[in-house]
Amino acid sequence: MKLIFVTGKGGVGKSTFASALALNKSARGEKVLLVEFGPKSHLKYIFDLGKDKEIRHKRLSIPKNLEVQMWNFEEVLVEFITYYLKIKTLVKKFFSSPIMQKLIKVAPSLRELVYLGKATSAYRKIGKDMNYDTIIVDAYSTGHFLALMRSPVGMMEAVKKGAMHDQCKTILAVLQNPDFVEYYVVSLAEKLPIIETKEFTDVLKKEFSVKPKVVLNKVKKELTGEVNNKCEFQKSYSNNTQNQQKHIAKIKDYNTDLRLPFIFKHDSTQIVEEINSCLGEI
Amino acid sequence: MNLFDKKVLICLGPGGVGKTTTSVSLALQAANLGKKCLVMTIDPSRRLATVLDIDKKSNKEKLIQKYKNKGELWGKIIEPEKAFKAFVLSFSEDKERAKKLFDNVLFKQLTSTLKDSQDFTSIETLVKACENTNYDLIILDTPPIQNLTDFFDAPENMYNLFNSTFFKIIGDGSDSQSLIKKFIGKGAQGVLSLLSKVTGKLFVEELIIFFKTIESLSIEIKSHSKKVDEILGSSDTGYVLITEAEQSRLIEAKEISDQLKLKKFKLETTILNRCYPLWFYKKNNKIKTESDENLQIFNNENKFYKEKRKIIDTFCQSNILPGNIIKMPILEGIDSLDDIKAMTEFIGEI
Repeated sequence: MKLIFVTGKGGVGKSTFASALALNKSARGEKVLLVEFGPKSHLKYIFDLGKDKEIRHKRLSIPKNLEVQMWNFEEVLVEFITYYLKIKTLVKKFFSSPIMQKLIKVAPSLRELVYLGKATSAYRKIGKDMNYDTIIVDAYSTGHFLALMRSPVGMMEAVKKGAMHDQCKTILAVLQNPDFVEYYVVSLAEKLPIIETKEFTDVLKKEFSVKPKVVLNKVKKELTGEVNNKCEFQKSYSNNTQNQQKHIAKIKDYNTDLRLPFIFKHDSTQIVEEINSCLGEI
Repeated sequence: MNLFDKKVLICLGPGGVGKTTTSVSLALQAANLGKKCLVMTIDPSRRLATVLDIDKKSNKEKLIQKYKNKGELWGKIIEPEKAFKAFVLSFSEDKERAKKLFDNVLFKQLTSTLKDSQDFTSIETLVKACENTNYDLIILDTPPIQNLTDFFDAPENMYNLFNSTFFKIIGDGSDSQSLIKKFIGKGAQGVLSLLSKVTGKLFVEELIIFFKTIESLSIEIKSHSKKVDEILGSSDTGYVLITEAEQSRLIEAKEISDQLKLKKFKLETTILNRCYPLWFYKKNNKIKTESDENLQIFNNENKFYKEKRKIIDTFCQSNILPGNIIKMPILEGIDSLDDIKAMTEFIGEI
């Protein structure tokens, strides 16, 4: 079983890549769970999740081996508390308490811990059965993703012993185990995304000894031959591709084997399908 | 009414669409037209600080540029942690106790948890800046929004936290022995002992110290909360939506506009960033080449942007969004104030 986190700067195509990866693996017989964190769904634009009738464009039907879920913080928390308290009336009492309601709203990094707790539950042998070959998490963008990764560490520092401390310790151990967990950072070959990807990758390495793979998305093909500067298209287009190559060169020491072409489509479902076919046997 | 006749512009949009740069270009445009304009951003990556030459550690407003027509461009980088602490201090009667709260481990966690505290501090910084009547216009570049309701609820959630009155306060909270029994009513005791089953006793104790310290600050926030609502809902406040012209982004834009409508906030302008590359605007833009490969690339590009133009035009003509829509080109490497100035040409008269 593998747990895969997909992150990256906002707007670089995280959901597209995560969805394509999920389709790719499920088509090769793996039982895949594709997850996003609520409350807002991005995957609903790609997959036909059976709700949101007002989205008019065609969406992908979900293949047999694939399950798509949006995790809702409150629901996962209830699930988690129920697992520990066992008795339904106790759980009810717990959540109807005004203290708990207020606490849940503002509790520092509780949301992050709850999501990580569920994502890693199968490895920690707790909670509901999570019977999948691969769990792919279409996770937060880089800044928030770091806060997600840091949440168990922060909690362990805040609370030096007890159940909460122990839970965080096991979550962290799973996150740092390369046999279980893989990380992908999606990036564009542009200045700011590349700088952010480098900084982010360095922090992950330094703080967690985790080595993410970088996915360079929307890479454009270079023109052949000499650029005719009298031609507006060639001037503008080659300026663009030269910049792309310049930025790619800056990240060459990182794990950037995975490069995805610019897809000349507008429909997000078609883009996902084409990226899927580019992935080959990933 | 001209967009720049507003007193406050709140720029909303998803991450990675060029929201910060666009907000600054709006501010530049306003200053150019003779307004005293302040632009504020959280700017976690500090790129804007470099572009505007603002000292990274400074929490102050800085004059960036002065124009002959009395227009002024001011900039401010919001530091969420500093702003959060300043907020707590300004409302605390007992400053020493407030400082004690800053040392609390859970408080540290709270301020470092990105999303909520960023939303909260950016709104609070706006409210504070509005007290200064020197500015004609204040532009707030908000953190990337995942959910607009979460953004507008952030202040209320924080006020609720500071208004908690669960624990009967005795002493200064320094002794942590049997805190549960000492400070808390019987009903709450039951719940907390349940919590301690899940989290451990130490966590619950830390939690109580956290709440107890907050309560001892006796922060009075009701009138303040009203002020925030007034600013956000004022007819002098306008909302600008910045997004990219892609299918899923356009659907998102519609959702954001609907959420604003529910709040009765007015969407003034939508800026569609990165519509077409510059060559696409030129009249004779066909490629001059003998290479079949290059011709193929051109045909793909040209077809793609023609289709995109159809999608954008249909969207703009459908009146799905209230207010006007500005289309921006795809610009490369915006690194300096001059680059941002070049952007304003495309914004034009609004």
